[in-house]
Amino acid sequence: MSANDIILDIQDLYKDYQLPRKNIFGKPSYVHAVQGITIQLERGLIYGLVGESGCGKTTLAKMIAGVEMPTRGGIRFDAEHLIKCDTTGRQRENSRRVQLILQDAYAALPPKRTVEQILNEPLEIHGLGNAAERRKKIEATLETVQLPLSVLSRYHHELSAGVTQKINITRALLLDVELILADESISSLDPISRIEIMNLFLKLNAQHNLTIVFIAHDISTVQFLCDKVIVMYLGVCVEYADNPEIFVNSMHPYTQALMNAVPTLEKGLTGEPLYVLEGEVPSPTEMLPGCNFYSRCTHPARDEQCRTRKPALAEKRSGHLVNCFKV
Amino acid sequence: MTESTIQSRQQTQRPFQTARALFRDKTFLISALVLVLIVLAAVFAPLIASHSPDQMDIRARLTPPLFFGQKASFDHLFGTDSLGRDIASRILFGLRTSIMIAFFSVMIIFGIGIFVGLLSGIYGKTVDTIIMTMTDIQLSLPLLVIAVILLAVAPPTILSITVVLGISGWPIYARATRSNVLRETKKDYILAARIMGASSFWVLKKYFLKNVVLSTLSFVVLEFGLMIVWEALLSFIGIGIQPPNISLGTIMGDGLNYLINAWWITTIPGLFITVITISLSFMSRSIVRTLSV
Amino acid sequence: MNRILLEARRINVVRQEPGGAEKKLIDDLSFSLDRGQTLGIVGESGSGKSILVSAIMHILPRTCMLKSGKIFFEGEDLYQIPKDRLNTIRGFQIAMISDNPLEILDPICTVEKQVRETIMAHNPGLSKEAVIEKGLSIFKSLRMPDPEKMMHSYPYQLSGGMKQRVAIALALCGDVKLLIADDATRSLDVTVAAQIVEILRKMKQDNQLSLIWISNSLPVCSLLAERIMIMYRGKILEIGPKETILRSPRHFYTQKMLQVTPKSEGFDRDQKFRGFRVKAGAAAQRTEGGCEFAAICDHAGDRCSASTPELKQVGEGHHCRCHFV
Repeated sequence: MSANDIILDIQDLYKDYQLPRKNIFGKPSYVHAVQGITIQLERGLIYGLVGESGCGKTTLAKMIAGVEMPTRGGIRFDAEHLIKCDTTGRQRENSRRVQLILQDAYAALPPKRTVEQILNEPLEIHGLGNAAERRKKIEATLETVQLPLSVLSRYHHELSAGVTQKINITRALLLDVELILADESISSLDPISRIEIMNLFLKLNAQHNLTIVFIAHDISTVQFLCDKVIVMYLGVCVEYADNPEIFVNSMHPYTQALMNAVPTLEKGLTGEPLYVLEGEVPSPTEMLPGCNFYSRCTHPARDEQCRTRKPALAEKRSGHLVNCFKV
Repeated sequence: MTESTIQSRQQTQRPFQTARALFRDKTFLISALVLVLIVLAAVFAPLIASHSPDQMDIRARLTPPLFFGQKASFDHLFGTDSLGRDIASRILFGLRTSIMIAFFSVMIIFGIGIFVGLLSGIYGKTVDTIIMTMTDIQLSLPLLVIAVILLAVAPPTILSITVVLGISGWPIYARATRSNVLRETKKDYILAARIMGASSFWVLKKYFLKNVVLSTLSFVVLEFGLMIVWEALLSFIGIGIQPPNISLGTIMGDGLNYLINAWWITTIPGLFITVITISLSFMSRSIVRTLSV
Repeated sequence: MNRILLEARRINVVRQEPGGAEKKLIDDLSFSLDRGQTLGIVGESGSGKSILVSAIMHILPRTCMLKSGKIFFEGEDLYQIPKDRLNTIRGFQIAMISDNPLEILDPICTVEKQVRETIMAHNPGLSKEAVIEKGLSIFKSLRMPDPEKMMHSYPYQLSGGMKQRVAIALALCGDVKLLIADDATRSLDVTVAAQIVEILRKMKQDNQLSLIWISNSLPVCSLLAERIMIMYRGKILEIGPKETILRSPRHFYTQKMLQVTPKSEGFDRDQKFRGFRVKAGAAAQRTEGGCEFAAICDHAGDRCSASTPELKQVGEGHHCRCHFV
């Protein structure tokens, strides 16, 4: 194992959102977005966080970025600072060190402002440098992400999705971040732009030792990019392993289902049907007594124990953790 | 060095274009011109007026306006009232009062309204609930009732009427601004700003202030006209401006008993009010069309 | 019966820009689709694939128009037939699903109401019971988990996958011969997308359904299509049988796309991928007169910026638009 220090220490993290009540007398109901995550992330690695809608990955990302308050448990950044979020949802202490890049590249940028104005904003918020220094920093960062300076005078809705996403990344880089969370940053891009952004992340990781948590619902994108992969389902982590290991030796039935559902050229050529994971993700408003994946699990050894008791994340092979009784 | 392809998708209207477009709009220009003339006439009333507004001339009482009767003369362009006072001069001085009241009450309405709305929208739960309860209480009391009560207690002055109108008008704009802000704060770019560490104050100042001010511009214009009408109404029924002060409403009130044989006393100030509100209405429409914030 | 279901002949679609200029969205495009066949269209955003769909469905936005060319459905020119005839084809024989099922579903109607309205529009004489019967049978054939509950739900209560299934159900209410799926699985989770793909595959087999299956990703396209068409900036760059396109593409754009696609053995991280680049001096605007792709092609030469290449036949049913073939 590498001797990198731990940049993020997540302990027993829970997050519940309260849903609006049906009437004054009704009992409040909650969405259990994150149901107990304990994990440590090392500095300088690229992590993949994979899961489908409702698995809680975006909520987890927001808690790490300090814009959501955990219901239980905590996140420590760099061994010292507990990540806190103030009442207005603003990331207090760590905004210069942790950044989150949102999925919709266009919506994440304020409308009716030029790119130059947008890129000045993070520097203004933190009062960094005078106008000349800011300009220099912006130009240097644009060069790092390989965007021409001509982009500064444009409006982002005029630009392509790939370029706009790069602007989002530029904005985060201007604050000298140490950890970037990229929430589905490439899902809506065409394949060529995707590769460009992924290459950019690789470069930032290699040259600036930037820790990256790359969130995706498509496991094939993390295969190229990530050193380690975390798979989430319905608020819990179901599998956590190094990159080649998790693809070659995936153990949790959900991970395997995810892999088999990805369209590949081979499947296109042979015409073989994709593996279909039947059913839908159960509603996160109910805390299930047993394994969250029970209802859709097709593992031959699935039994009562799976339905009534919760499994825990345990090391089944070296460096490979799985949350299942049966593997 | 590799560069990415930047493809232009559609042109934005640059901000300066929209202001110029406004001035190219003929309706806007004409309406604005009319209003400017009226305001200038009010401002320079002492210089332009042919008579003093209080000057009585019993011999010339109830003279019809120009072209409307044999007694009419250039001396009294709009005729005289029952005390022989020149209507035209009275209107000029009355405009001063009416415009002043309308102007300042609009400032109160939007000053308080937008400020409160922004606070309410951005600072969340507790602040919002307090403010919204205040607006609800305010909205449930109709203006006329407040006016009557307040003005029965204290003698109506320009100041007190302005304050009454201002206070009863702001809740609606507070609500509108608040819902505007609430809608925008759900958007991703606000979340992105928070992730960057921006305070609510910064978000307000940077993103909302300009937008909100611009988008309410068209309403400011309309509200001005509304205030002119309200003031006239209050003065007309006697609980607004009191004699010897003059406003468009008081003149109209003077003519109440003479509607049949001296219609001009009430009608001509009323015409002025109509012209003002129609011009403002056109201006507002032009603003909405060209600014489209 | 004529084998050809849909045929587009040299169609040109333009958009009116403010200021009077015309922007070409689809440039001299021709293709044909046989009965029971699936055509896959691959292209990035801006390639014109969605406009092509709008043109086929005769629902071009007001700023756009079919400047020249013809679109035939079962031999009828869709732009020449009278409005009533068009309305019996569009929505009935040609149906469409898009990447945003919310556009198709009325948010204030229950699913049942919408299904009922659609079925009644297609079959005016049917009784209410028969309509609901038919609706339920369509739902069952789409393997909906709980058809009755689905009927009574509002769109906002449904997940993305469910909404898309309802959209497909609505599309199948009529006597559909051609289903156009414009990026139908883009916003769905991988496992849900797999469900939808398999449903469509079954529809194809059972009902002899023709499908135009559009995506910005080659592997997704290749799952259902027998022929694949690559579009770029309004032109076809390459078109051919699936095996040929995937195994031995001729156009550099297709080759590049294949490089960046997931394969079973995964990517080699040390392999350096390059995106596209803008040549020094080339403006980001369209190049007048030359090959559209030249601005970002690694192999572009002088001939490429000088003249537009034609779509040439390079194999059995395989055409490519490039000076280098």
